[in-house]
Amino acid sequence: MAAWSDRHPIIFQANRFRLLAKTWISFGRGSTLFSKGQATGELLLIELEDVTKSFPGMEKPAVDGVTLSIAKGETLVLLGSSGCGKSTTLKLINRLVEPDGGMIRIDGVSVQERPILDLRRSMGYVIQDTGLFPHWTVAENVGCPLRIRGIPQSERRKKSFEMLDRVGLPPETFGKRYPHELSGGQQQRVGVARALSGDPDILLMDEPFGALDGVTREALQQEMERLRQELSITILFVTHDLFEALSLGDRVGVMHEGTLQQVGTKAEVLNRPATAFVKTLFEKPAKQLRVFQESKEGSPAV
Amino acid sequence: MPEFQSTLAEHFVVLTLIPVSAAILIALPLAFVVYNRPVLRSIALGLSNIVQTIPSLAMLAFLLPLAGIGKLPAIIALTLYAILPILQNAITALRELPESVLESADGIGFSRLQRLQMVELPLSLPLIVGGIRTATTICVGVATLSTFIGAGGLGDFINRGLSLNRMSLLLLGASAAALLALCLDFLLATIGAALAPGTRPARMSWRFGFCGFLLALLLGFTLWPVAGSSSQGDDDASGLVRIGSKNFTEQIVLGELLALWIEQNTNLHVERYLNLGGTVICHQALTSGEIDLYIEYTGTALLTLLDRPRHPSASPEDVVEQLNSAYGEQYDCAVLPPLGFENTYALSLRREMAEKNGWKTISDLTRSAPQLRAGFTAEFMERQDGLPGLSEAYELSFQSLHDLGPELMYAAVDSDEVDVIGAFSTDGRLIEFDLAVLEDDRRFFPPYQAVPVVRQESLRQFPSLESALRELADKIDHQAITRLNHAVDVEKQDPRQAARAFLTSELFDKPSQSTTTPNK
Repeated sequence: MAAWSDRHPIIFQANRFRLLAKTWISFGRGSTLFSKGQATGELLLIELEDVTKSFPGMEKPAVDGVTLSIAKGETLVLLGSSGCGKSTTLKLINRLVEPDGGMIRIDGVSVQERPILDLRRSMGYVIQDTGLFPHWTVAENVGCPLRIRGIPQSERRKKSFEMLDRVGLPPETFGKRYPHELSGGQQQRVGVARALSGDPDILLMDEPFGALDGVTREALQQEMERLRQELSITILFVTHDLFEALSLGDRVGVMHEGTLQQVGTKAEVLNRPATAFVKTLFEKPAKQLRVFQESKEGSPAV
Repeated sequence: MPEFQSTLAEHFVVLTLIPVSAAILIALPLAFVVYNRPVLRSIALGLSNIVQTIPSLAMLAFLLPLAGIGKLPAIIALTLYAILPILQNAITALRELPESVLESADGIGFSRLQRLQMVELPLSLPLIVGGIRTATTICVGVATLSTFIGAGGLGDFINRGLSLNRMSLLLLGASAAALLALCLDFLLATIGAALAPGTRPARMSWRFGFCGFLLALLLGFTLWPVAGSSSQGDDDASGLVRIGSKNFTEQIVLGELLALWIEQNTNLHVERYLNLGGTVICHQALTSGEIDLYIEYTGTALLTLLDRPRHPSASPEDVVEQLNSAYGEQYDCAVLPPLGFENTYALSLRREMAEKNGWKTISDLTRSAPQLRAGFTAEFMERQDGLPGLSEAYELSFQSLHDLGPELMYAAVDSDEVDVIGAFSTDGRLIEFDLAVLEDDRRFFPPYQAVPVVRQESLRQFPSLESALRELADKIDHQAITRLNHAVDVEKQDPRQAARAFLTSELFDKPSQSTTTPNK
């Protein structure tokens, strides 16, 4: 009875821990990936340099001097509670928000110098509420990044079918449906398929699974992991969920009140928290994890 | 029936389709400009709200000096009314689009225009269509009032039914307007439902089917006479005369009579703007060139329109002469010879009461007036040549005064609810109810001779018009007009039928000869 056990709250929590434990073990064994704020890869794709953004009527800047770089093919997760500036940081990259100061470069070119539509069309964008167009079918939604570039219908159809297949939705069944005829998880799969259909170099994901129930969410996270390996695309993933951050990213950036507290591998943020905030953030789950590990394997993993 | 069809077509096409389309063309771009600009938005909504609060009749009155009478001011007024619901719904729709949808459109890289075209417009359409529905219903309803400025439409039936006291006409107009509104509402509701995001039109086939049926019915019914009549109007090289009239039986009958007479005796085409409204509206229509002529009463023209002092000693002929020169100077219009009767105010009462008391003149009433109940029209109680002046001239003061419409007045005196009324001396109901008319022995009421008032320009343009009108001089006496009024008011004849019967049988027994004279 897989369905029952998946949904049982205790088993479900245990599953989450298992996922986290895998991560724990992996960096426990061979922890060689170290760097501070700098991506390890040789190709820097996205660079943020001392980026600041304030919104009118707000006391503190939403984003305060953030410096960050993401390597080609890397997945970086920005983690933080709501209002910490992580979503704003993401929107600065596709210029849904324009910075007050600092510099953002992609492949060495300032985003301010690129035509805004070209810039956005070169990235996939996935948001929590899916933002699917309710008046278009699933296939039309998936094909729309191509449509706005004037790519003909037949090609769009082919591509959107391919993408639907890729996210695990049989196009013959789902292509003609409307978004409201799909479950939340299916809708978000369509959202991901839409973001990928334009063959972007970069995928920006803003709490994409935040509104989904635990089981669906986990299934999608696994799906994401698979896609990431298949596509070797660069991903900036924003979440407030610790477990999600630790299970998905190559590296994790922790944000708090507009500032970037620490960027590093999962091992780094867990073992060597750079600030008191990061320490408190990971204290509790780290402890729970140790208990879990002890009961499971008889001895702590670290 | 062809008249009904063309009226319905007029109501549908001219007074609904055109104003609603115009309002869409104004309101939608406006909504796109203002919806995310708070100051402009509140200005636009505020202005259209103010327009909406103006009562329909007041709006038509405002437009009268600017756009005159006829279809144009009605279309303007209806367009103004239709703007608010469309604008309001469009703004609401655009403002309430889900934030996430717009954000993802931007994030994906839709240009501003693509976002508008592909996302915002289609998603707001159902609500916008809802606004168009409201606007259409308002238009169909308010359009029935535009009959008062001669714009035609189903209101013509309602208005004629009211002023001729013909319930069937009234119901015809009102129920046709209601049915039209219901049909259009259903059509638009279906369109709105089909446009709702994620709707599969195939599942609404029965509604589409019914809509198609309604549409076919509506178009078939309204367009057929339009197509038929347009071929008639084209060979009109001989000129067009527009005849107006005020809004009571005698004026409508006279309008028809004049129209038939001109059609028979000249090769001019006549357009009827009958039942236009009160004195002032007819006068404005004439002076602004919307109509070429109408029948006025000398006393009314002198006192109400030209505001000239009255010389009690002036003879009726002098008054006509005086009027002619005044109209000529002030309005470039001419007053032609009187038709031969006077329609004056007259105090009137049940015959048996008059005979019992031996009352023959208004002076006879002076002593008994404090015991009498009187019923007058609102206009009569206000006008200086009405009750105020009359009370002064005869030292009358009645026991009580009742404000009665002309339709009610005669019945009220007949059923002993009032004793004296301020009747119109030519009214057919004086005969019907066998009422006695008191003589104006102190000559208080000025002469109210019926005269054609015509634009000089029209007379210059169509010489045959003047000779035809002059030929009518002294041809309709008091008895004749009273009989015509009686035929319409009491015998419920159609005004045009009554006028035609009068022309053929009674006085001018030569229609067959004159209809053959036009040169075609």
